[in-house]
Order: sequence, then structure tokens, then C-alpha cells
Amino acid sequence: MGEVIGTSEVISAEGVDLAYGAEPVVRGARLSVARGEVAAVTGASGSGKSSLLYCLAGVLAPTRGRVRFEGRTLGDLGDDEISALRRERFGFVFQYGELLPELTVEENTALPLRLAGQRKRPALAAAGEVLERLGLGDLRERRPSQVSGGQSQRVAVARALVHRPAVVFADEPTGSLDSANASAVLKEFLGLARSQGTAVVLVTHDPAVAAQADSHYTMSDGVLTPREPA
Amino acid sequence: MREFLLGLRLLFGAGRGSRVRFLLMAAGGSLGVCCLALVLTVPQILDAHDGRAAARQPQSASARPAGATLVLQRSDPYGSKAFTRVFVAQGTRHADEVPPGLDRLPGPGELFLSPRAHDLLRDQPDVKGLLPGHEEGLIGAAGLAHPDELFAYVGTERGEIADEGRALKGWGYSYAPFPAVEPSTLTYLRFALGSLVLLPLGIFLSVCARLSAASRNRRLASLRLLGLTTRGTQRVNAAETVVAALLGALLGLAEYEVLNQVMTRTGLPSLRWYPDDGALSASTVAVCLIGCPLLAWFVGRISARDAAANPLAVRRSSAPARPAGRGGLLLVTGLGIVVGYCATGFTDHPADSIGVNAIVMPAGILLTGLGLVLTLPLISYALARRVARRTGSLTLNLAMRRNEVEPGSTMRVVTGLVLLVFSASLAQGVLIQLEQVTRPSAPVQDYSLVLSALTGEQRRALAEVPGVRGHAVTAESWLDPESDGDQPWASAVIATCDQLASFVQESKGCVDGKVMRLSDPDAGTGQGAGPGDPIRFRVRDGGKDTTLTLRLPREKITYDTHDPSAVHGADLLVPPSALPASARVDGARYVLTSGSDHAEVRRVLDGIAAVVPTAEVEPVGINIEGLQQIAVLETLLAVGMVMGLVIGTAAFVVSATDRAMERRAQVTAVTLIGARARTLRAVQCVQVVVPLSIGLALALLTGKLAESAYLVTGGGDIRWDLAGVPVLALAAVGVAAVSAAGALPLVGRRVDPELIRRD
Repeated sequence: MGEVIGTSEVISAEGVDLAYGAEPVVRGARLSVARGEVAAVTGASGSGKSSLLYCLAGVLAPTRGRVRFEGRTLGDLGDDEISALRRERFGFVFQYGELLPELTVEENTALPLRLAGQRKRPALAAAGEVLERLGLGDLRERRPSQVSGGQSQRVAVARALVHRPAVVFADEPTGSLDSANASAVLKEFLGLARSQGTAVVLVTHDPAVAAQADSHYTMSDGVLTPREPA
Repeated sequence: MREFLLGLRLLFGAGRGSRVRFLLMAAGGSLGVCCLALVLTVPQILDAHDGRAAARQPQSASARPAGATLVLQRSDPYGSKAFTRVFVAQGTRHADEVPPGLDRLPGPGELFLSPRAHDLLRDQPDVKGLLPGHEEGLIGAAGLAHPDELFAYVGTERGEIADEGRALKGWGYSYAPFPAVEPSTLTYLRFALGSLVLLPLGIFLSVCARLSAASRNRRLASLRLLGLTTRGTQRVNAAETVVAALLGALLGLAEYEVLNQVMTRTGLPSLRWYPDDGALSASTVAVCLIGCPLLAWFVGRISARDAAANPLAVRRSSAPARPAGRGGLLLVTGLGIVVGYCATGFTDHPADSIGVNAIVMPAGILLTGLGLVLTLPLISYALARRVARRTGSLTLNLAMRRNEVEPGSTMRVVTGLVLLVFSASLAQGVLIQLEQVTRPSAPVQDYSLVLSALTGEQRRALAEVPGVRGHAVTAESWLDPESDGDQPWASAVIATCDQLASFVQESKGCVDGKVMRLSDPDAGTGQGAGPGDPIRFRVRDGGKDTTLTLRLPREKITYDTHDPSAVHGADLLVPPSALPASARVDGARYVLTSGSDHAEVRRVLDGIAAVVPTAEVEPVGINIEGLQQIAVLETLLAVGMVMGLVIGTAAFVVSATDRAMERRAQVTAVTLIGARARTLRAVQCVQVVVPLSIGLALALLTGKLAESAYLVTGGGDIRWDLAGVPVLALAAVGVAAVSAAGALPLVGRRVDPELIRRD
């Protein structure tokens, strides 16, 4: 389909512009994330970092430039193909987890596998395995309303990684947690992702979170700037 | 007041979504108020009908002074309607007294017709027989019960109605001779409309008042945590619901005004009214403008109770409790009683409706309905839980898990529709029962006329009326009032064997030319009249009264009549040749028979009227006023059913839409992780359709059992009514389909990440 830029590059943005109507939100963003790499984007609220994240995930279409995933330009793909990518190759972690309240922890975790067509029993087994690794094995049968905020966010992490995606997009994954919980969840999240070779694009306004990343970008008024390691 | 204003501030300052929700609440409420206004106006419409019918009723006396204006009122069946004709023969007294709707009384040969009768006369020339004379004008609205009434004033000569006409004293009574709906039936009608319309309506208004309950509860919990009092928190919530209900009530009344104008032009089958009849009364306006906001106030306060009492739990979205199982006991008890009564229908001694049964049977039906409503959430919960655990289908799993955690909220709305179907089954049973006593089910229809009012030529002409299959004369024997001893008594049919055969299902042993005893194994045999007893008849022949004595012979004819029949219970067959040709038995009636097909009955009645326009014809077994009332009842119940279905379906769709709006963040998140739109649509459909279908199926089953219990104890021939099942099932499937279709657009293809909650 498209040329492969590098063997380890998973996702990249090349001169991406995004505007809501006449208002530019992202301007000429360039970014590249390799397999197993954790890239953090920090910036003030309203700086455009979440919009960039959803551009990278193929949810929002750039007004200019292109986003490439494993060598394929997302703009060239149809809706069904992008949906399939999101189902099978992408993972998502949201600020409030957004677990389905009616499903058990185990069923929430297994959801991406089930959506990808896997049968119930092996999907639940795989979910159980990830939950065990995150120390949530005892909570399998509980509902999201019956676990704490930190545990709920861990379940969201398990859901994002259960199908071993190529890249996880995390939008303020610890934004709803206290610092102790945030640190623990982030550690488990990034540890599991790295062990699987999953790339992570992390949007946060917390410098402490960004400090855990391999590469760091800052966003200000829609302009993305790579930040040199300290 | 401070909290009320804060509630309004939150409502109008909370963004577009909040305003859309407010408009949805107001629009939904307006639909409900429109239906409420219609239900409240129905008795007013019926009262207006009865009032006008009473005001034109002739006041008359049997004493006829010289120069009296004579009137004779005849009401004959026309299909299932009554065709009322008032014959007027003007005299010198009270000739200037005119009924409402007329300027003057008709002169001989003049007709004043209702618009419907005018159309009928134009379209059906055969009706001319009923209306001798030429049309002079139309009767005004003040003189008609309703715009569709068949009514006529027929001017005639005094000699035409000299025998039966009464002296006119004036017009108008304080009550209608035949109310549009009997007072006892009106009570039942109110109950039925209450079940069919007001119950779903109450649920609908509650649903509208509680839209977006979860997000509103979180906001209210925040206010409570910030220091607002429990009562203040409830008032903040009530402010929004009250304003929406008030706006909805105003819109609803305006919608009703439009509906009234449209309905008075199009009308309903068997029920039409003038615009003024359906005008909004002060009490209806007051109920709608005060009652609905009041209901909204209470619902608003109650729905904020959790947020006010336990704000932390609401903020954390604690898991809803499992539904209680107490209703199951009521359902089992009620069903036990109802099935028991149904079972007696299979025995030789079915239960009746007297004694203890008069209490136990209705109690069983009430318990069944109540138990059904209270048990549905538990049934839905248990089924959803079981299916969700066992199914391998992701769609079914997601849908059932949703129903498992939200059995109450969904079932509240389902309950309205379930009660609707249950009540409709029951209402159908009552209609069947009413119809059984007013409309005979025999394959023949008999007609009875007073013999003395007919000339020989008229009798011959009546026998030749198209559709008439046979004719005969019936008479009762004469009892001497001065005799002290027991006198045998019998009723006789004066007919040939062929004529008798045309009136009965079967007759055996008839010999022409012989007086014979009639024996109907299903009927009694008079007061002890036995073979050899003398039976006496008073006979007028050539202006002379004589007594004819016949002995009840031994030879008998065994016969089996239809039910009802003009010759039912007759003991004696007298051949016409046994009487002098010009003799007439005192009190005898001339009877005719035809097929019972409605069109044929209509044709025969028109034919009879053409021969003897002023004669009173009694169609045996038909209660025309009863039939008219049933037609009105059927119409009102059908309207109630349709309104209930509309309201119930709207409530279901609005509720499902609201829940879908509240779940947008979760649905977006699931879409982002790759769920296909079709999967989510299927989930939405299954989630809506499964509990609804279970509820409707159970309502249909229990409703039919309740209906059969009612019919069995009613003692009628029909005990198991399956005729209504397809209609109800179709309505139930329709509701499920509309609800499912309404749920489909709630899942779009576009993914909007803004819907994901972020700080």
C-alpha cells in the first residue's frame, strides 16, 4: 500500500494540520513512535494534544498532512478498514476508563477480543491472564461500580492491552487518579506495554507522567515540539 | 424559591443538550396532555349528546283532546344504528310548539331530515318507504344528538296515526330516553379508559419528567455535597420538570384544540360530535394546567431523593439493587384463581358470577394484573442474568447485561404497555359479554308486528318483501278474569307446516290441516296445559267478539327453535284453515322471518317500512339501543387502545433515546475500541425488544385467561375468545417493532471523541 519508512516505526504524523471549522487546532505536527516506545505529549488544556491523539488514531481526519500506521496512510483507508485497525491493532485508555457498567471486570477486559470475533471462553481466559498480571484476578466477577477508581483504571489498561495491539492511545490515563494511584497505574501500564512491544502515545498535562516516557513532545497553540531529554 | 430559580438557571445555562432535553420533556408532555384532555372530554361529549336528545323528546299524553297535535315516535334499527322518526299530525293545540332544530312543525307530507338521513335518502332510494313525503328542510344541530344521527320529523294526516299517536304537550325532558352510554357502563368506560390511557399516560409523564436522570442526579449530588439541603436539592430538580410540564400542558391543550377541530370533521366510527361538544372545559384546562405540573413536581422531587439522601453513592454510580420478588406471590395467587375459574368452563357446571365468586373472580384478575407488573422486573432481571452468563453471542451478552443492571428503569415503561394489553384483553371480554346479550347469534332473524294494525293486503305485501322467508301469526290464549279456577294457558302459532318449518331449526310429525300440540324439549309447556285441556282464544270476526275453544290434542310436533325466535315456547299449532278467514285473534302478532345477515335484515326492515311506514316493528332479540352503545363503547375503547399504544410506544422510545443519550460516552468508547455500528445497533434492538416481548407475551396470556374467567362466570355461550388474539398480538408485535426501529438511529456511524468524558 504505502512505503515502509523504517522497520521499527509503528505510527507517525507528517505535517498534520487539523482545524475545527476555521479554527486551527493542530499545525504541522510531526511525530514518530517506534515499536515498544512510549511517547508523551504534554501541554496546557486546549492546546490541541487530545485532537492530535485522535488524529493519530484515525478518528479525526487531518485537514492537511498524513498519518501513517505500519507504513499505511490512514487517509487512504476506508471506514471499515480503520474500524478494523482500531479493533485489532489499536488500544485506547481514557481518562475515566469508560468501562461498560453492566459488564463484569472480566467481560470488560475481554471486550476487544470479542469484538475482533474471538469466542467467549478463550477471550475470557486471555482477559483473566492480563488481569492476573495487573493484580486484579480477584475482581473478575465484579462490576465497575464495585471497584475503586484506581482498580477501574487498571481494568481499562488491561482492556487496552488484552489483544496485544501495536499501539495504545492513552488520553490522560491517570488524570482521574490521586498521585500515588496514578504512579502505580502508569508503572503497570507502561511495564506491560513495553513487555508486549506495544507502542504508547500518551497525552497528559502531568510532567511526572511524561517523565516516564521514552520520548517527550510539548504542544502549545497547536504546535508540536519535540523536547530534548534533560 | 431560591432553589427553584437555581433549577431554572441550571436548566438554561447547561448547554444545548440540556435545552434539547427540556424541549423533549415538553413535547412528550404535550402529547400526554393532549390525550388526557381527550379522555377528560369524552364524558362531556356524551353528556352533550344526551342533553340534545332529551331536549327534543316529545312530551305527550294518552288522553287526546279535540284538536290535539298528535305525535308518534318510532325507532328502528338501521344496521347497528337507530333510525328515529317522529310522525307529527298537526292540530290546533300546541301546533306552535317546535322541537329544537326546527322552525315549525312539518305539515302533512313534509319531511325534516337530519343531514345523515338526507344523504341516506339520496343514496338509498329504498329508504323512501320509511320516509313518506317530500323533504322540506334539514334539522339544525340543536335538534340532533350528534352529526351522524339518523333522525326525521315526518308530517302526516291525523288519520294515519290515529290509533297509536299521542297528544303533544311540548318538547323536552331532563333526561335522555336512551343515553349514549348507560351510567353503569360509563363507570366501566371510565375505568377502562383509565387503565388504557391514564396509566400509560402517568408513566409517560413520569418518564418525561425523569429524562437524563443519571446525569441530573450526578449534578444534584454535587449541589448536595456543596451544602444544599435535602429539600432544596429536590426543589432544584423539580423546577426543571415543573416548567417543562407547564409548557407541555399549554402545548398539549393547543394540540387538543386542533385535534378537536379535525375529529369533528372526520369523526370516529359510531361517535361523532360538534366542535362545541368537545370544547375544553374549565375543569379540563385546570386539571391539565395544574395536575400535570403537580405530578411533575412530585416526580421531580422523588427522583432527586437518592441524590439528596446519598450524594456520594450517586457520584460513584453505585450498582442498582436486585428487584424484589414479592410481586411473584401476587401473580401466582392471581393466576391460580383465574385458571381455576377458567377450568370450570370445561365442566358441566361452570362457575357463575354470584355469591363469593362476585368477589373472588375480580380479585383474581386484579391480583394477576398487579402481580404481573410487580414481577416483570424480576423476570427480566433473572432472564437477562441467565442468558448473559450462558450465551456465546456478544450482542446478546451486551444487551442482556444492560437489562440485568437496569431492569427497573426499562420495566417501568414496559409496564405501561403490558397493562395496556392486559386491560385490552379484559375490555374485549366485557364487550363480548355485552354483545352476547344484545345481538343474537342465530342464523335467522324474526320480526314481530301487531296484527290488528295490519290490513289483509298489507299482510300479503309483507310476506312478499324481498328476503322474507316465512310468515305466521302468534297468539296467547285468553284467560277469563272472572273465572276462579285454574285455567290452562298456552301460546299458539297459526301457520301451515311449511310456515312453521321456516321459523324453526327442525320439526317432526307435522300434519297439515290439523290442530297439533307443539313440544319443544328445551322449553316449558305453559301453565300445566296438557293433552285434552281446553284452550280458549278471543276472536274478533266482523266486528263481533267470540271465544274459540280448542282442545290441546295428543298428536304432537317435536320442534327445536332458534334462539331467539318469535315462536319460541309455543304449545299449539293451529292451521289457518281452522279459523274463519276474516277472524283475528285478540292480541295476536304477525311474525316474519329472514336470514340474520346484517344487509338482509336491513333490506327486510326497509321493505316492511315501505308497506307499513308507521308500524312498530320489533326485531326479535335485537336490542338496538344496546347495539348503539356497544358501537360507541367499541369506538371509545379502540381510541383508548390506540392512544395507549401511542403513549406507551412514545414513552418507550423516549426512554430508550434518553438512556442512549446518557450512554453516549460509553458507546463512543466502545466504538473507539472497534465495535461495529451494526453490533451496537443490534445490542440496542435486542435490549429493547426482549423485555418488551416477554412482557407483552405474558400480558397477552394472562389477559386472555382473565378474559376467559370473566366470560365463564358471565354465563354466555362464548367462553374462549381467540378472535381478538391476532389483533392484540399484531399490536404487540407492532409496538415491539416501532420501539426497535426507534432505537436504531440512536447509534450513528460517526465517532465523536468529544463525547468521551474529560476534565
